[in-house]
Amino acid sequence: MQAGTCCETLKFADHAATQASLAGFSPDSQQVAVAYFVDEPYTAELVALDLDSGEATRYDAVPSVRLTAA
Amino acid sequence: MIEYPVAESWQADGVNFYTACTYCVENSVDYSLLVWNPATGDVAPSGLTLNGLGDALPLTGEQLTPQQSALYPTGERIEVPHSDGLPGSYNVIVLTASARPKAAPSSTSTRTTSSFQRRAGSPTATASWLSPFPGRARPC
Repeated sequence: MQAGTCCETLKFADHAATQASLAGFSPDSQQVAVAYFVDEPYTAELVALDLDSGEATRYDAVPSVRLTAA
Repeated sequence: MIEYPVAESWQADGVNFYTACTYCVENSVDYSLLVWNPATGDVAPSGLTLNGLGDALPLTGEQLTPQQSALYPTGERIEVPHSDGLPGSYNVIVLTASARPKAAPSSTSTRTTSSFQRRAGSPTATASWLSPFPGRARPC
């Protein structure tokens, strides 16, 4: 996490996201949630980011059918 | 086709999201929203349904729906990456009156926002998808 004078940047993925969407802040304003996917390697996750620590809680949203495909 | 989650909002019970996809088949639309609780990792149906047709007024049920009318000029088909393309730009907004009688809101009313409406017993809509957000992929 990098801190600036007005803003801070929270990293949520190791690869450039093809598309991402924000769910906004948690009710206690301590976290933000983002959903995204990456084409290659295919990654689809929901991520909750702690605003103070940058710690991420992740949910692997890759459809199960893909995990069993040949 | 690539499936991916789209985050909608963070409510008291967790993060509401739905699954969208690139190159989706028309009318294979599931408007049901899931809720992910980051504290527990649980994912469950939220009981909310994405109102893919437009925005609904919570009190009256009236809907604002973007549509395309041949009576007015239309734009060309929009091609966007990772999408099967969007039809020409919507050129009209349709206000649909609701058959639901107007009533004062009660404390037991269902949770709604301008983007969602609960459709009890009807988790899957049958209407064609009309994206209110040109440039965004449609849910599938």
